[in-house]
Amino acid sequence: MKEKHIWQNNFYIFRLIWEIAPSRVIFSFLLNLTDSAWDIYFSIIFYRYLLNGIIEQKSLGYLLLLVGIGAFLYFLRRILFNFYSFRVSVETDQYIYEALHMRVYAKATDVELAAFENTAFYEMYTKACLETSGRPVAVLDNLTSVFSTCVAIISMVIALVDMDSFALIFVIFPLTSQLLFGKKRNRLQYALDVENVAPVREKEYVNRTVYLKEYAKELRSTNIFSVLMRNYRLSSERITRNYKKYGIKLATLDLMMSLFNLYIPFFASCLYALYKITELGTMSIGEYSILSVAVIGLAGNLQQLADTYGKAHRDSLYIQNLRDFLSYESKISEDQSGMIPNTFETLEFKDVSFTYDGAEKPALEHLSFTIRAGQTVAIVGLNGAGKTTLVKLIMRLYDPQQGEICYNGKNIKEYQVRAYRETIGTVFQDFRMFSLPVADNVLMGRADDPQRAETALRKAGIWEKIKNAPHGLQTVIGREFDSDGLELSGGEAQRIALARVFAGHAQIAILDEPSSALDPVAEYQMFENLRHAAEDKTTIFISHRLSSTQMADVIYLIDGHTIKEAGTHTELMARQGLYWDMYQKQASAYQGEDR
Amino acid sequence: MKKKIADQLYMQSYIFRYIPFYALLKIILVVVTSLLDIFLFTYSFKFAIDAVEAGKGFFEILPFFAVAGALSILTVFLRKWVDCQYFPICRERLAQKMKMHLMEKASAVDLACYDQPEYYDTLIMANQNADTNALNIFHTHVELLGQVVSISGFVTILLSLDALGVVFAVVSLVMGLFTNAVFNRLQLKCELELAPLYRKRDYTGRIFFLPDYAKELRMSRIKLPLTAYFKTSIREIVDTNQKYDMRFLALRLLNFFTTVFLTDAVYMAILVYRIVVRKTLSVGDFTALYLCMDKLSYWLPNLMETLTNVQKHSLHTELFQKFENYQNTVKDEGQVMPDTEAAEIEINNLSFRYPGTDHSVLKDIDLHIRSGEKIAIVGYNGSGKSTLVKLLMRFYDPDRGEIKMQGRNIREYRLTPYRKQIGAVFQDYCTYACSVAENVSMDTKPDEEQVWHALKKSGLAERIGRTEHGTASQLGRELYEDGLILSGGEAHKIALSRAFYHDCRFVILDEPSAALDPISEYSFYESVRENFRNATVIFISHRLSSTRGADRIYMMSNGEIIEQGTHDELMKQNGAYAASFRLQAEKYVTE
Repeated sequence: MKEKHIWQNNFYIFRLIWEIAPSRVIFSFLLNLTDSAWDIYFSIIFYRYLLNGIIEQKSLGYLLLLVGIGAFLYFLRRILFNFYSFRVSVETDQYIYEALHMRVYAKATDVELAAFENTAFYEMYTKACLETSGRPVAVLDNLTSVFSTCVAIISMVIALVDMDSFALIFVIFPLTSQLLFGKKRNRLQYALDVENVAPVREKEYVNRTVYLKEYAKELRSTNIFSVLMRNYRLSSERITRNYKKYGIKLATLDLMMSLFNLYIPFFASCLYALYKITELGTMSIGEYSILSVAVIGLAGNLQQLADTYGKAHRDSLYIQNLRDFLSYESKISEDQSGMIPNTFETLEFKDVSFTYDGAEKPALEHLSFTIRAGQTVAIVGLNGAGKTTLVKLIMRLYDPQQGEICYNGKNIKEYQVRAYRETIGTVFQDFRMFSLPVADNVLMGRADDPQRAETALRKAGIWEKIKNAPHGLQTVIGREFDSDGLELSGGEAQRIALARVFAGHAQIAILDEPSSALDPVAEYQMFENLRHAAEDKTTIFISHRLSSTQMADVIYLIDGHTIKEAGTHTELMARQGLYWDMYQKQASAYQGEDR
Repeated sequence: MKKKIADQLYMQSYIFRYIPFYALLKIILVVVTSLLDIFLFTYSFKFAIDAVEAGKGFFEILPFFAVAGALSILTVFLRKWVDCQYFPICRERLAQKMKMHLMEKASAVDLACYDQPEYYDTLIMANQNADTNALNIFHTHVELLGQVVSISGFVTILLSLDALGVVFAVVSLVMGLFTNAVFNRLQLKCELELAPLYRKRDYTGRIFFLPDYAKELRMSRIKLPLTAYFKTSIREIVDTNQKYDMRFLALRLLNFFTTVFLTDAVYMAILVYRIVVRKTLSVGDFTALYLCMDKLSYWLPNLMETLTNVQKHSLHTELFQKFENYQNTVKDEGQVMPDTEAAEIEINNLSFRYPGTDHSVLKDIDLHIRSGEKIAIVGYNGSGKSTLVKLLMRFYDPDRGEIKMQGRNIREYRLTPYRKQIGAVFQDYCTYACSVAENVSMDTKPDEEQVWHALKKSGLAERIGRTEHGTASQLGRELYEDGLILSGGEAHKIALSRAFYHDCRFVILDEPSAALDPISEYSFYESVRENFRNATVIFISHRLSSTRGADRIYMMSNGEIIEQGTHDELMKQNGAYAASFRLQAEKYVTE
């Protein structure tokens, strides 16, 4: 990464925090400044003046004043530090967290759904989420410390020059250690880390698998545990080999670095001072310990400055990720302008083809059909045929690469995304409940209107249950955050999801049938829920088993990525194609019985 | 308290057992480093100043520094070597010995432990990283030792120079411990109050992050109430913090005045007074005392922090003890090896309830399955079907009644071979990040030919055959970049292949066709009929069409078998089975 980018990225965060919480920035500066003031006072001024004062037999008052100033400075620093850590930082941490997460969330809901399936994007998102919690504040602290470290370095250099400018030469050791050994050490460490990635991950995988509940039964009833243990042992042995390969080299470099950073300057300055005192007599005994304290202090601060740079460099990579995420251009943005849709008349697919990102083959090819107002449409097909993809295209969660989808004769891309999506009410196969009041779960962010929610719940046939809940419409769903919360069965939750469709202005209902393992009665109830919902709207059913297809006005069978068969149940049965075959196979076991 | 210390020492004993040389080396290093630090950065000043004042020459003092320098280089190198090489290697050794032992134990613990969340959390999950915990405890103890050595070193110097300094150090230590204890208690209270608020705040993050919610977020405006909820929880966090912050501040300042202020300001003033007015101190002594106090005011708070950490470890050790002492209730006391030729099952008067509940899941079940029979168990959700399977697998032992295989109570068989002779495919089957062959054979040395046979029977051979590495392909992308990604239906077929691979005499299939489309479902049942001709098979299913061909069907409701017979017999009975069947069949009525 270029030098310029490193600082640009760091200042990007700095500016962000300044906008959100200027008090945090100011305090961070102040704190750093008092820190280095205290540091300088103690390491070079206080002790030196005190010791010289004692040797020169200065008055008691003068010496006590020195002690008093020190105590006062220290006290000031403690007050400031505690106020900062108990008040300013906890409060601003939350505000920074809030502001950054709001930006990230806004982006996350705005990007097209395809981005969620793109591993690279999702990784970027994951990192952005992880990093927005602690990183920004760390960046700020790092930046403000540059300032105070520089102040400390300058003061120590002045002090040393004042005492003995030759002693500055000992600082060369810490200055060159990074260049001589640091770089090589980082390279070795990196190589070691890279070689350890795979075995470490394998070990973590095994560890997790052994302890997770879902694997418990198979671990007890099969020999898979022995496979896992063998993999664990092999990985562990690989890690050991890696450490054997790199350990001694790393240790030697580490030794050299601590010699150069601490021990050589310390011993050299001690001996140098002693030599001047005893042999040359050009230094007072009072300055003996101060010289080494100042040299070590200066070395430490230089070290810190180098660390700061390293941190800024590392931080910059994370910030770049955050910036990339926030500036990701949504392909189907909700803010996109466009027409407001009229009352629904037709929805037409014109030679639509769609391929998932990174997939070799298209999920759907050359799809053409029309859905008219008032129709009940069933979409059927084998697992993975593309049924769900088709409805996602209708909802404009993806855009097709070829062909167009038209609402009332106009390409759906010409409508305002938000308004277009509101013409569609959906009950997903994997519908979700939110840990929010029932009212919010039904109205889904539309204006608060209890009457409307009640009517919708009535239509969905779940009002009685809600009415009797502890807080009625305001009862929170789920017990995760509220012990008064409402636990719902699968069928009941589906009714809430259905109520969402009734509460909106949807003109088209898309109903995805459950395919999970439900017992016959529960499954029957869920089918009935959906059938009931279909009565007065244009409805698109996605059917995972051929059960609710007979009442449809038209059935589309998807196979080989396109519509293979279309027509009513009777027509398709007459064709004796795939639909007929599937139907026969499912039905055979149910037929020919004694009714 | 005594018990807590004993617990910690017990857990730490694993370190001495598995990596004794590391433990010894670490202790020696810590002691030597602590002493050397005192010697180098405190005592050397006094030594040099005294020597100069005594009129010694440079070359008389030099040997002292040469020895000190050589000693430091030696210990630094040893320390770095331990950090960079010896410790990581020992950590692996510990992982291989202690962790694998723990995993083995965890994989054999009663399945019942997984049912109650509080038990699962405290017994199983909490001990997941017991080896790291043991290591942490050891390191904390060693750290404590180092601090005690350092502090006693400085106190010794103080004692030899000025006993008053010791008084100051002790007062500061006692006061520090006291104010810290008050502070910690208050902080714990604050943290407890904050924990649910953080969970609320993070809930929103989870919704926005998980792909499961992505569709709903786009198709509605649910993000408005969600963000409002997010902002409220942030506000509540800030308010809660503000309730406490001034008290925290006051306690911290009290701590300052009773510790650092005493040692660094008051004591310093006394020293100055003594050296200037009373003239009872030499400059060398003064320097040593000053540096000693400076170091003590650094080490004493450190010691307090370590003591707090030691206390925190007690939670882990308590849970570890519980784990170590846990005795399985399903005892492995049988001696007989199971018969691999036939499987006749007899269940007499069986009743069961899950530990910790008072609701019977199974009541007076009687069942007799002849060897080679295909039977189906059907019923509503929660009727006890899966529990019956768990009892057959001996994951639990019944409260009353018995299960017999080949005329012998299953408790008389050796536990592991008994379980492993059953080919079970669970509804919530799992796949593993290892090769396809290993996923099918579920063993370290798969028989290639048998794997292919099994894959053929489950209908997956063609798909695997098309891959570059065949049965050596790794499953999933978690560990291998070029791993094979299977769809839900295909993964299910892997699980089904396991039953075919072993050619078991006793097969249990729990909802085997839930994830299959109609065509695959049809051929799966064909394959089962063909390949398990001689085996005893139990099907569990909601899909009544799939169980129709069974030799005998058992309908369960509320833990009881309410109807049994062949399909035709049950339809004639016109009971619950017939009603359920018609409900499903209704949609397939022939025109």
